[in-house]
Amino acid sequence: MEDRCDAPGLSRPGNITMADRPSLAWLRHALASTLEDDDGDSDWEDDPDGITEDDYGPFENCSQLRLTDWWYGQSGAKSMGDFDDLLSVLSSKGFELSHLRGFGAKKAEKMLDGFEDDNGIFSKDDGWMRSDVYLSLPKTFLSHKTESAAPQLAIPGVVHRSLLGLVKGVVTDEGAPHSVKYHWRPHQMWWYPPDHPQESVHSSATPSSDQGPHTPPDPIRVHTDCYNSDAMLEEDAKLRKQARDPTDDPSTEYCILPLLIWSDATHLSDFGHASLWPIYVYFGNLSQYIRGRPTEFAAQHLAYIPDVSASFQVLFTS
Amino acid sequence: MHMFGTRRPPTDDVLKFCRRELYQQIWHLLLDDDFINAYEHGFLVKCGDGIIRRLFPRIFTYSADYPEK
Repeated sequence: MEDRCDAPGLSRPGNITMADRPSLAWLRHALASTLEDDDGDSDWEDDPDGITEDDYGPFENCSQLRLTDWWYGQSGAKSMGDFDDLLSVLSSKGFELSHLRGFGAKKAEKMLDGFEDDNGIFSKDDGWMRSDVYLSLPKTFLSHKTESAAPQLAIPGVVHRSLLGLVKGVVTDEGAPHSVKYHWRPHQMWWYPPDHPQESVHSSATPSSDQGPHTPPDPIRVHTDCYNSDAMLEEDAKLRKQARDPTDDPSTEYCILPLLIWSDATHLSDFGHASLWPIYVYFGNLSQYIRGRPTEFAAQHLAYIPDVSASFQVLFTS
Repeated sequence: MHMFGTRRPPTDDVLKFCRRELYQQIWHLLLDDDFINAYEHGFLVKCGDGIIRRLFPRIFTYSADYPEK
């Protein structure tokens, strides 16, 4: 290592030989493989028998050395957590080196690509359904008496879930961390300026001309989410006027459940045409600061719009 | 399929129309009787926090771009 610090301006070590620094000898060996071999694979990496006990350096055995070398020798993109993760994989129950004979990255990719659950990715158990939809097709210079008289194109197997089933599933989920975070009643949110007398809030009786130059400004209505919007308050007011279901217990709360529905095409890869067109649902009574986090998994997938351009082309030209 | 048979590819307008129709048909599928019934009369449910509520689902916002390409 010292031998390599030969840049101008760096003091060169004295006459210290590697033999005087036994703890560095192993590192020199390891470094030599990455610095001198263009193929990156040193002779000792391919020849584990060539590693002697002297090469272990600070480590207790060959396995520790080789794993640490693997970790340091890579692009540097692996964290210490990744390293610990690998170690726990290697020491996990059921892990056997003999299982890996003939296994490799390419094979793993292939197996993953070919895998499909017994029920398919869109499992019935998760409420997914496949339904056919029919489109009435137009044709230039041709008119039909009714829409049903027009030629129909069947789009088979549109993948979707029941919207009500989805909603019920989410709100009844007792295990979900969101279950106690929902805002069930809409409200107004106001910002009170510092030192503002709170009693006079909302009272328009105070004419502004009476206010001295040091009177703080009026409170300001704040809109942050569905549940403090006017639209939500209006809808809630309508619901209050509505007659209750006589079979309901008087203690049963009546609430609006605001659904936020989104749909946009998503490209799955930077190259090629792999893409999805999902329709997904968020719940508006969940704060946007929770809802917006990808790690909260607050989006519920409702349907996937199939790509039918190819069948249109075939249909119209054949 | 001879009834469409002009052997001419569909125009962009026709394709746009078809995609829009597809979109509407899918929504026809999603807004089924169960959902409409719940929309009008609410549905009684024991929520995840243990409280029984009658909920009235409302589509509050809908952000989408039509498949026009």
